[in-house]
Amino acid sequence: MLKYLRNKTMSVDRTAPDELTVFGVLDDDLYGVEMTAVFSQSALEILSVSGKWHRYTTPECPRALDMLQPAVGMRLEPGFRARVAKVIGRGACRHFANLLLEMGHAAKNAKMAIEYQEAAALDPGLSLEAFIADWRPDQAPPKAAAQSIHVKAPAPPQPAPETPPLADAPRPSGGMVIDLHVHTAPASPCASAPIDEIIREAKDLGVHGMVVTDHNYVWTSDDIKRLRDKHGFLLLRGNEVITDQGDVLVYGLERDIKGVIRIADLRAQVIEAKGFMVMAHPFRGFLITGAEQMGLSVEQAAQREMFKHVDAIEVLNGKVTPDENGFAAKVADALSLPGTGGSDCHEMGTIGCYATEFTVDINSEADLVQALHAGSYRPVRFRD
Amino acid sequence: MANPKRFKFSRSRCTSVEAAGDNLLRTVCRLNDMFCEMRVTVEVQLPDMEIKKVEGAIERCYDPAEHRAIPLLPQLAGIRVGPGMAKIFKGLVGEEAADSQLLFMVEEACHGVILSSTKDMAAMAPNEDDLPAEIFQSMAKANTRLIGRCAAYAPESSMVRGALEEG
Repeated sequence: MLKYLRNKTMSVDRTAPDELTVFGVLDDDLYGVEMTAVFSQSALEILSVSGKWHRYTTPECPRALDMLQPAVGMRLEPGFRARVAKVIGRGACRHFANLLLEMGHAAKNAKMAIEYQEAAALDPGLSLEAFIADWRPDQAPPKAAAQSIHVKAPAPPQPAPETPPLADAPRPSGGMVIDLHVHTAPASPCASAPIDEIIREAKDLGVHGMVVTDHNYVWTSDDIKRLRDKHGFLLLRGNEVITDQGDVLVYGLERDIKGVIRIADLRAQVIEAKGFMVMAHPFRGFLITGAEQMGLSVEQAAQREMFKHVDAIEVLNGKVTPDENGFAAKVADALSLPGTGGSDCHEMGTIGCYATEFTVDINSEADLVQALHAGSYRPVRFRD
Repeated sequence: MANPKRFKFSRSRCTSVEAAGDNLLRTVCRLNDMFCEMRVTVEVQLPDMEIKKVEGAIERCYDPAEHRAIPLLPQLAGIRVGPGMAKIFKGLVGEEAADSQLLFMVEEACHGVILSSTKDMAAMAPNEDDLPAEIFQSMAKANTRLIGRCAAYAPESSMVRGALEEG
């Protein structure tokens, strides 16, 4: 039996010599939305946009309609998808963003179809395959100055609020408290806080140290030493690596890994370097999507491939819900794997909400990896 | 030459999710327009939401990049449907297929699985008009990751404002 169905239809008309008007409809069992967007044919730039709701799920969904205008001025060029997801998806609604992406792609294909028709009129023997092979959507004239009056700056991203702390998470009891999971800007594209400001905030809070774990980014030891000396603060290096099984925090592996790596391959490298691997936020977003209602048990979750390749599990993460942290802790218990804590800080105001308390002194990355292997630590709730 | 004002381009995309027995969901994304007719089928095992199988099929498509993407899709098996899956998909298939329409169709198919779960949850709620604001506020409070995720959950929204004041 069918459980869900979503239809999207796009219709593109050439409403002026350099205008493509795209009408799009998205309709499924939960949402019904429609949009009209006018693109310039030459530059594939959005000149105007409007939307309408037919069906939605919360009383505040209609607010999204007022937030569509930052799409005006966006062009179908590299980065279009990310911009739409960030500006329209977060500022308005991800279903409108989804529809707008589809409409943009339809506008691009409509432009290609028009240009093929024009080329074929001049060269009747031109095949579609040969035309497409040479066609580039960015062969567009420079942006017309007159169009710039439509452009509005995208709304700045809203900082994510701090996750409420897990009420029963243990508090530090005098050991050395280190935040093992911190992102900084611009090393992590998703982060907004510069490292100097994060360090100052961490010091003010009383955190004893932190590990920068920027996504697939390795800080140089010189940069880290300079920052340590400048702030008189324990700053260490780690990495958050994207694997086929999700994000993994790695300590003690000084290697620049680009893109996505198979977790088994990462494991081999970490073992060779005598490093340490922690499965980061293993159930992030999982319980919110309804999987809990499907009856996932701790025992079933513990069978996941990811847990066969790590030394520990992040059981207190500042970006997930208390339920998701709690579930991760139960899985760690079931597997007899140790748990760590980290804020997963991406912006100011979140550093140190969770951290890891060590019973030994940590002064270097070697000390950190040694203490992790020795199990001399526990996850703690540090900041309210 | 054809009258430019008579130009028309149409596209339809349909994503469906069906129960395929023994905690298995089969989700299919179909795309049809002037240039292509393609289909992606993804099988997802519950309750772990793990992708068991991915298949792509091209009935008609003039873009060679899509044809090159077809043999790369099966390697997406083993990934869990959920946050972060898109970047994993792109990373695993590599640059050659990262921007292909077929890969986007895999993502659409997997989003269908998530939305089918949401639909199941929504079906248990009473009529929307009857829901007091506190229900949405408690949702926002329990799942703070929702806050700032869209206009409905923006900090100035009544659903969030109430949750933050309460908290």
